[in-house]
Amino acid sequence: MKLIITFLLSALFLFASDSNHLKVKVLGNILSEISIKEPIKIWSDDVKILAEFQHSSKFRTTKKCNEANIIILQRKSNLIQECRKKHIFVLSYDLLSNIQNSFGALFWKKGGPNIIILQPRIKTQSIQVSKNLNPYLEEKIW
Amino acid sequence: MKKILLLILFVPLLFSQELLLDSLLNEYQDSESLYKKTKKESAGFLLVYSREDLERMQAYSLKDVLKTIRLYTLQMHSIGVSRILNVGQGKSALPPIKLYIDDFEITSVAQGNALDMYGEMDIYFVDHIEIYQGGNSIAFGNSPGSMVIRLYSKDPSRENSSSTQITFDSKSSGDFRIIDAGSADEYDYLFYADAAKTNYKKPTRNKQELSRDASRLQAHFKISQDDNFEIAIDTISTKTDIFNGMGTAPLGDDSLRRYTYINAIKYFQGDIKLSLAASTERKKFFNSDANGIQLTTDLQGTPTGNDLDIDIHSNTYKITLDKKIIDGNHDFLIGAEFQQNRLKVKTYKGTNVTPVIGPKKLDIYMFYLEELYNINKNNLLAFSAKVDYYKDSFSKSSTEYAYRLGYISLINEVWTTKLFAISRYTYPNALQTTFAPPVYNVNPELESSTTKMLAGELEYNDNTHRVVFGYAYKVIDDALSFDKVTKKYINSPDTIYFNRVYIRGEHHFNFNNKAIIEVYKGYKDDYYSPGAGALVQLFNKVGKFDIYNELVYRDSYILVNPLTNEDIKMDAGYDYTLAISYPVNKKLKVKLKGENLLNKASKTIIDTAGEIKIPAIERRGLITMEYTF
Repeated sequence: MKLIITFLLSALFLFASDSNHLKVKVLGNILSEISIKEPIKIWSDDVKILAEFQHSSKFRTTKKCNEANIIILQRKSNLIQECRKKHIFVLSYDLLSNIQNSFGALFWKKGGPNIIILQPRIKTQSIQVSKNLNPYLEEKIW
Repeated sequence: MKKILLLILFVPLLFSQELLLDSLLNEYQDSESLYKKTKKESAGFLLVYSREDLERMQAYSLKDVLKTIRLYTLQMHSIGVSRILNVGQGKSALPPIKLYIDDFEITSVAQGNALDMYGEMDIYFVDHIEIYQGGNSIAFGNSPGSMVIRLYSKDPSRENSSSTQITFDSKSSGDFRIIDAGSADEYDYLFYADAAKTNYKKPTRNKQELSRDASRLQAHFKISQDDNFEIAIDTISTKTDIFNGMGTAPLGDDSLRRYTYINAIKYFQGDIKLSLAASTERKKFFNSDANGIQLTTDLQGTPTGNDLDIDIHSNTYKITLDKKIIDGNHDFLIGAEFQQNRLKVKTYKGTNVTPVIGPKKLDIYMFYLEELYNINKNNLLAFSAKVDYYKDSFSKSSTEYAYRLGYISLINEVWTTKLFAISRYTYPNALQTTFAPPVYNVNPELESSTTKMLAGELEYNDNTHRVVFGYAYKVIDDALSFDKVTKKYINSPDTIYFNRVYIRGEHHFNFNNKAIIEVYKGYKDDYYSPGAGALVQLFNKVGKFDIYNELVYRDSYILVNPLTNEDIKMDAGYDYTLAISYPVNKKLKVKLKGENLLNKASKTIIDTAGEIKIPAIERRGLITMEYTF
């Protein structure tokens, strides 16, 4: 905050990095409230998100999608065939409809970030969620 | 009584509890707030109304924001249009306030004041509002203004939804708004439309009701592709009953104000931006009066006629080219703009006065540059200069200059200071030089006025508390003043001196709860508007309820009765607003709002007899339902 050049001229960069950090914090918070059959190993097609997770001591990450068990997905085109059966958490609302295997989403709607976890899909995929995620559980896509 | 009030206002703070993930989402949302990306701290003394603020204030119209701005007072004009006056407004013309919607400046030729056209606009498509006071940046282009109001439309990539909102109020008014925004492939789009009918209390004079009821249609469309282009189209059309009109017995006629613009921006490699814009404007005014239209400058004289019919059209064309260079500690902007204003008086009937029409075409060539230089990591120098060449169709030309020197320093972790020295000009508008209603004469020879100003701001901010103290000293030469003898605007031979101070305190209890208190005072000899004012805003959340309390205070002031020349003391105003909203579910939100609940908001006089006193914001209750698809 001390750097005036950042403060005045390059606020955009600060804004972007701070915001990405918080985004990953939200994602980390969600993932820490779920449990699957094995320890969580994350892959994401968003390199910034993956890089942030790499610095986290809570989660393991991988650079290969097929080695991960949780996928954080930005674009459908980045999801290769052999990863389609993994647990997928998406970053856009539309992907929840387009990717039948996706169990939850963090997305922007009406100017604010939203979280949604689809109950029927976590049940099918044997994902356990803690009660802290109860407010975000939905039976179906809105 | 005071204890009860304090209890009502602060109890919500005690019950505010957040889930961890919810708090994190709030923090994430705040970090992504669009104003953090668009605001320009070096461009002046900044006031920001974030999207969150606007929503919790239930600011439906721009005037809901205008009435809260320090150093200004919102008032009602005798023909049913609201206007905004500077602290201690003298006999000089209205302050040159610039209004932007995204990158487009609303250039009103016929009105000479963008707020006349857009002051009561609906802001459902607006994300946030930035207000720059105290010698705003030349980099904003066009002729410099005393205050710049920038409206930023919602970002489609964060909307991804369609919403509709309907409002009814206690005066049987209705307002219907719809917005659809999102992304399709690589393109972002936003479409918004609004239809409103607003009714007002009708004061009576000689058993005759004076109506300023208004209907408005508004639409905004935007399509863009990141780092490539953006096209915006906007239109607003307002029909207003004539209210007091220009005589003593108006027969229920109306006026029409319509404005449409298109603005296209193309971004090139190397931080080059090219903008092309065109706007068209129409003002139609028809006033029939049983006793005849009376010249306000000749109130004892004979009425000029029974009907007044005026229809003015104007067009503006603009082309702007900007280039930005960021190199080490330098941030350099250079740009040029060509603007052409055309005005056409299509109809001017009903008076025994032959109107004098001034130059109908004005070309403006502008060149500007701005350098922001980082002396070191805590100190910044800002310098900007602007040269504008004006040439009208009467072959009158002039070259105008504006300069600005700024120094911004982060004194330590919590203290910041901003200092600006400004020399700028105000070019007369078409209502002063080219075309005037039959109440005064035009003056094509009118020259621009010059303003020199020294202004500073000192800020303390520890993230929980924020205190801002601001001061400005202003000297105006050749002020554009109305001369009662010649019945036209002239360059005042007197130099005007002006001081003003303000102090603003904010306390952020947490993300959902904050309190703002602001006080200002202007020091000047003539007062035609309040010379001092204050604002209290309390933003609270109790469970799912959003509660907003607002008190706008404006000091008493003196007006002169145009008939008798006697002073009329206008009482101090206390405009109290309470707004409560509740999300029924993820799709439906219900909102309740009471405006001017004490019925003591600052008033002005709208008739020549000085008998009818009207507030800009009337007491009314509103209920709104918002549905998101």
